[in-house]
Amino acid sequence: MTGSLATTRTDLGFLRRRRPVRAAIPAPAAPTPAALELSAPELPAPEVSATSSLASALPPAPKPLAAAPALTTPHLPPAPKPLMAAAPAVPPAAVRRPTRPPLPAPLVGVPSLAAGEHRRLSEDDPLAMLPRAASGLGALECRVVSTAASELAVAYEVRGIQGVLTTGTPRHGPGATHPRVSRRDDHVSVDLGHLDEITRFAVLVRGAEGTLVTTTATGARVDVELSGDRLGVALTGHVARGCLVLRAEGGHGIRGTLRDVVSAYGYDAIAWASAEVPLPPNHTHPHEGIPR
Amino acid sequence: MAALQRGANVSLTREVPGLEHVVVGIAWDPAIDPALADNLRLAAILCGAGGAARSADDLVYFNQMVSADRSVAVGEDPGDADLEQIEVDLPLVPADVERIAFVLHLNEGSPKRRTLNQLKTCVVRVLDGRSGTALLQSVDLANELTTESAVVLGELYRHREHWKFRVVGQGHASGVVGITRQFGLPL
Repeated sequence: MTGSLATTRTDLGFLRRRRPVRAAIPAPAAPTPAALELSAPELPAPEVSATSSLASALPPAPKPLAAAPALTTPHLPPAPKPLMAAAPAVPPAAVRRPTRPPLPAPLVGVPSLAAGEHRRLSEDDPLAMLPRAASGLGALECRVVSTAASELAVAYEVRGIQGVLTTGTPRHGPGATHPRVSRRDDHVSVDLGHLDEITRFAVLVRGAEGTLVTTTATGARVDVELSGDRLGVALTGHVARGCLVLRAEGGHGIRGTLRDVVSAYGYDAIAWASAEVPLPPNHTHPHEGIPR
Repeated sequence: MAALQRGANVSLTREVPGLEHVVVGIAWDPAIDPALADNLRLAAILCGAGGAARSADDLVYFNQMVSADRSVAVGEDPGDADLEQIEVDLPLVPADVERIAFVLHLNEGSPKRRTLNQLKTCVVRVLDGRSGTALLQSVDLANELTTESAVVLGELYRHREHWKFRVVGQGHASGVVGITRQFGLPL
């Protein structure tokens, strides 16, 4: 009995589960010291030692105990073991097992985009994935490089809110206070520092022959060729298991208005003032955010 | 509790025998510019020999909340005294990890650009993760920050058989990208 107290209680791992630390609250004194003292004590050792020496003396002379209640005698033979058995019982306590679940593995089969890497996405090779460690750093910047006049728009889903930024709408989505997606003229940026709020986005281009150049804070770059003068989705981004997956859409398979194209990509929770004019997600006035 | 100056260190496991679970918390003035607060992030970098990260998995931050070995994790509920926390399970830290650096950075993806100069206070604390008792805290690290957008707050490192914590307070004007270069993070 005393021998078992001398060992660290490996079967009480659940008592050590992490709890949120609230430093403002004084340490819960009772449970913690008790737990520490259970694993620490050297106290039982002398007792075990005494029992051990006593026990080693007893087997040859059990008779004096015969008059005592029979309960005492059955415990005597195994008594010498705890002294040595206690030590081997300790090593498992040193093997701590993680209590947190591991992160999910990234998608398989999607080519990774390393820092500084330059890739050209096409119909044959449409995908590139930023590693999880890089997906949450800096901004993703998309810019049209073209000699012709072009128009750029971006549809987004952030914190479950869908919206579209285009000519005449507010520059930032979902709102100006906490902008996550921004658009200005030929330039769209996505704030990856809040990737945990972003579900997906789609960059739309109209009237450009040239290249949509997308860069990251880690110096990676993907190019998507633009062709034709119709409106189309050139590039989409989806967050999958913490990784940003970029896909060249080839852009011009879907004909129609801005509303038609955006809706075809599943952005169907957006209110529209007209087929080309989306309303801001938080609009409260019928004419708010609408160009006049 | 005396506040530790930059460069000062404490042997945590020698001062607190049996210490296994350490929490590093960061607190700043909650009344700062909302755009600044919105973009501040605490990260940890596990470093091997020579002070360099071993792989991209060694960056622990909001988008990669647990290290591959699950020894270091972003605290999900920092409580009232800290704004962000990172938890370290010392017995689980791989033997080839010599130090763990704690970094506060401004994500520069927002159109609302800021610098750490706008922080009024910035204090790093180390707590016993089991009891919540504060073991040490730094001096205010904000007073020497100017144009920086990232700062190495401190580091937890092995010293013989013990774990020590040192207050660093070294700023980087090149932000988190500069930090990743300093620690050789292969992103």
